[in-house]
Amino acid sequence: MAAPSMSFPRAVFAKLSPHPYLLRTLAPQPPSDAAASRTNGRAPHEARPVHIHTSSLSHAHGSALVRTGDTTVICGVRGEVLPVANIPQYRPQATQQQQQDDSHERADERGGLGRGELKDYDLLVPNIELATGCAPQFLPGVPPTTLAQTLSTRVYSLLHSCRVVDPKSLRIWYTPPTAVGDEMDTEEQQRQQEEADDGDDGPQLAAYWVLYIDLLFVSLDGNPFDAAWTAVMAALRDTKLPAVRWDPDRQAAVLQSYSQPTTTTTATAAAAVPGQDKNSVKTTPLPVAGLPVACTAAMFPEKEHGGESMAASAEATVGNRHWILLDPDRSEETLCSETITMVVDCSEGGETRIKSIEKQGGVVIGRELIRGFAGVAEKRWKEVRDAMQ
Amino acid sequence: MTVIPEATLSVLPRADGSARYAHAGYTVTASVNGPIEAQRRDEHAFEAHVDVVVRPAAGTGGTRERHLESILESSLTQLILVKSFPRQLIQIVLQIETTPDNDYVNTKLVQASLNFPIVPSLLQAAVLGLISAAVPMRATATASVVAVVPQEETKRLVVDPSPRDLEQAQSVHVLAFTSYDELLLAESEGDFTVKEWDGVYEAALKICCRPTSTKAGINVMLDDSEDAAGSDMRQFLRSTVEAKVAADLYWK
Amino acid sequence: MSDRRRINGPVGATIPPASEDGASREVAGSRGGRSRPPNAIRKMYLKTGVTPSASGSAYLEIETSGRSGVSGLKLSCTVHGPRSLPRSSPFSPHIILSTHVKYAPFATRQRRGYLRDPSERDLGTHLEAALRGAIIADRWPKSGVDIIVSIIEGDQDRETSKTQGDESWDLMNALSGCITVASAALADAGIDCIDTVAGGVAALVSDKGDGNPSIVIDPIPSEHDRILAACCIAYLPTRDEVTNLWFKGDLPASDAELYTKLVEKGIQASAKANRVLVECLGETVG
Repeated sequence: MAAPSMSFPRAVFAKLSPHPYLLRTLAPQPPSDAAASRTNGRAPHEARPVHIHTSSLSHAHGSALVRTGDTTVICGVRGEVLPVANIPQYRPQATQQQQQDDSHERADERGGLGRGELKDYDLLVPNIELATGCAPQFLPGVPPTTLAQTLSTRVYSLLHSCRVVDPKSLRIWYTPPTAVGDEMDTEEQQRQQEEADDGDDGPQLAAYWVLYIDLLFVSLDGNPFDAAWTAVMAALRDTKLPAVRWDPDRQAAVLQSYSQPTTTTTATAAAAVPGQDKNSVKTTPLPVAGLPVACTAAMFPEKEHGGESMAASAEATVGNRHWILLDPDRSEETLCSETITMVVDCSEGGETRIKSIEKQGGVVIGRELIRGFAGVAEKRWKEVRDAMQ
Repeated sequence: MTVIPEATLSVLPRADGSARYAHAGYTVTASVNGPIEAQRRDEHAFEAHVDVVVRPAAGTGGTRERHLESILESSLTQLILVKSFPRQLIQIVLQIETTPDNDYVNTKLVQASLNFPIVPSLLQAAVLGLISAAVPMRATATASVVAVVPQEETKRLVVDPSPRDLEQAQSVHVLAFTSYDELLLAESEGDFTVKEWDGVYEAALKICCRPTSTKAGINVMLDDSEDAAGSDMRQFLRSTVEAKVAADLYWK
Repeated sequence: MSDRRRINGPVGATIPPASEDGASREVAGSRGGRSRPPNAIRKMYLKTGVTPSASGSAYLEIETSGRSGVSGLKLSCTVHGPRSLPRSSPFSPHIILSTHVKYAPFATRQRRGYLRDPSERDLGTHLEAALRGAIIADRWPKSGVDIIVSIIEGDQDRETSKTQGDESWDLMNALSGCITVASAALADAGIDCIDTVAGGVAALVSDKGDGNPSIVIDPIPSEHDRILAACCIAYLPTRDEVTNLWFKGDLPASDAELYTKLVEKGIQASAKANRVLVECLGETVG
C-alpha cells in the first residue's frame, strides 16, 4: 500500500462532508472547466429515466413496477365488492337520481372538489409500505413512519382531487328480472310486471367496487412520491375489473365467465356450455381519466444548515446561491429542506392543467420559481407519458 | 361564522406559551413548550427539533394529521431560530376545537384526505403560541386559504371559503408568507393553470402581506383598500400582540 | 379494528367477487397433471443487488407452471448489517439474526393485511433456523443483522378451490424460496457463511390415475390431486449438512423408509436450487 496521502478519495469526502462536496460539484471552482453537475452525475434539471412494467402480478387486477434510478416501487390494485347493505350511511336516493338524471350528474361533476361516492364510501384505499428494508432506515416490525403516512395521505388526496377514477365505473348494478322465462304464462308475467312497477323496476345499485391500491417499495433512493404516484397511475391504467353479476340470493357479486350467459334473465342457459374459455373471466378495463404526473424538486442552499441571517437574504447575494435539483436522490434529500412537488396533466391538450402544488420547508422557492417550474414539470410529463406507452 | 379572526394569547396557565385562534369557523388552541430537553432519538446536533402535534376535534389522529404535522413542522422550523437551541426540543400541540360543521357534509370521524382550510388556523395559532412562549423567531408568518369557484362562465376567488364553497370549488390553495413577504408554504389541489395560480397568489399576498402602518404613522397606508376581501392578517397579528402587551403592562 | 396509521377502507366489509359455481369449474379445468418430470425443479431466476442502499439484496423469481392464472413465486430480500446492537440489548458473543417475512397485500388470492400474521411469523422462525446454521456467527460479537423477505407474489393458483390444505403446502414452497433468496442476499452483503444454503421441497403425492403415491420435488399443489406429506429442507451442499427440516403431513405406515426417501428427495431439490444460487453469485463476482 502506498504512503497515506492527505487527500481523501471522492467517496470518502462525499460521506464525510456531503454538503461541501455537492456544492463543489455544482459550482466548480474557476480553474476546472467541468460543467455544473450533481454528485450523481446528473445536471440539476435532469431527472432519472423512468421504467414502467405493468401486469406482472397475477393476483392483482392491475399492477405496475416502476423504477427510477435506484428507487423501485411495486403497485398492486385489487378490487373487492362492497354491497350497499354494508355501507352505514348509504343514501340511495342521491345516487339513484344521479344515475337517472344524467345532465344533473354532469353539472355535479363540473363543480370541483365536492364530495361524492368515492370519498363518502371510501372506495379508494391507497396505502404505502416502506418498512421492507428498502433503505437502512426502514426496517419492518415498526408501525408506518410519518413519511409512509404522509405519502399515503398525499396519494389519497391526489386520487380524489384529480378525479382519476370515475365513480360510475365502480358501480355494480342489479336489474331485477322482469320476464323470467318462456314457460311462465303471460298472465303471471303481467302480474309480475305490475308488481315491479309498484316498486322500482329500474336497475338498482347493488354494490360498489372498492379499489385497494397497495404500494410496496422494494428499493428507495429518494423521491418516493413521484415514483409512487407514477406506479399508482400505471397500475390503474392497467386495471381490468372482472365482469360481475349481482346475485340477490347470495348477496354477492358473481364473476361472469365467457361461457356464462351475460344476462340474468336466461337462467336455463346456465347449464354449462363446455368451452375452452371456461377459466377465463371476462374483464373490462377500468376507465382512467387523464394522466397527472408528479414532479418533485429540492432546493439546495449554498449555506449549510440554513445560515443564521436568512432575514437579510434580500441584500446579501454572496453565499446565497441555490440550486433546484430535480428528482433528488436520498443523499440530496438529506441536504435539502425545501421541496416542491407539482402535479401536471397535459393530456387534454391546450393549456397545461396543474393538479397540485406542494411547496414547503423554506422561503427560496417563490412565485417566479414556481411559475418556471411548471415548464420543468411539463417536460417530465412527456418523459413519463412516453414511458407509460 | 366569524369573518374577522379572533385570538387570545396565554390562555393555558401551565404551558410556556399558548394561544387560541378562531377564524372562519375553526377554533384552534395551541400550547407551546420549549426549549426543553429533547429525547435522544429527536436530538439534532446543530438545531432544535420542532415537534408539532395536531389533535383533531373528535377522535384520534390519523394519517391526515400526520401530514398536517409534517407540513407545519417544516414551515415552523423555518421561522424559529432553531440554530440557537441545539439538541433541544420545541413542542407545539395544536388542539382543534371546532370546525365549521355543515348540514350538507356527510361528516365522518376518520378522514384520510387533506383538509386545506384548516392549515391557516393551525399555522396562525402556532405562531401566536410561539410568540406567547417567547420563542425566538426570525419572522412571523401569516396564511390564508383561497378557493377558485366557478360562477357561470367566469371564476371567482373566494377567500376563507365555507364548506359549501369548497364543495363547488375547482381548486383550493393555501399560501403562507413570512413577515418579509417570502412565500413560506404553498399547497394547492384541484384543477388550475399557472395564470389562475398567479391570481390566487395576488389575492393571498394582499391578505397576508399588506404593509403595516407603523405606530408613528410614517408609512401611510398606500391604499385604503377596504374593498379588498378578507382581513389584513399581518395587522391582526400585530394588534393581538400589542393588546396583550398593553394589558400585561397596564400598571406601568 | 381500524389502524389509524394507515388508510383504512370502508367501514363495512368488502368481499372479493365469488366465482360462478365454486368447486365444479376448478375440477374440470384447472387440475392438469404435472408438466415436469418428478425430479425436476421449476426454472429459477435469481439476481443480487436489487436494493443498492441495503448491505445486500436479492430477487428470486420462480417460473410459473405455464398455465394462465397460476403465478410463480416472486421474492425480494434485503439484508441490513452487520450493525451494532441497540444499546438496550444485552451482550451477545455472536451475531444476532432477525428475520422478517412479509407477504405483500397483493401477493395472494385473498388480500393480506399489513400486520404480520402467524404464518408469516412461522416462516420467519424457520428462515432464521435455516440461516443460523450457515452464518459464521462468532465473527461479529455484539452485532445484529436484519434479513427481510418480501413475498411480492405467492406461489398460488388463482382458480384452485380454497381448501385450507393448499395454503399450508404453499407455505413450504414459500419457505424454500425464502431460504434461497436470503442466502444470496447474505452473500451479497459479504457476511461470512460456511456455505451457501438453499431450500428444497419434496412431497409425497397421489395422483388420480394410479393409486400408488409417488415422491416429487418442487410440487405445485394445483398440479396434484392430493399431497399427503411434504418436507422443506435447508441444505449446505459442501458440508452435506441440513440446517433446517420442516416436515408436515401423514405418511402411510406401510413403508418405513418413505420418510428417509422424502428427505433425500428434499436434499436433491435443495442441491438443484443451490446450483442456480452458486451460478448467480459467480456471475456477480466474475
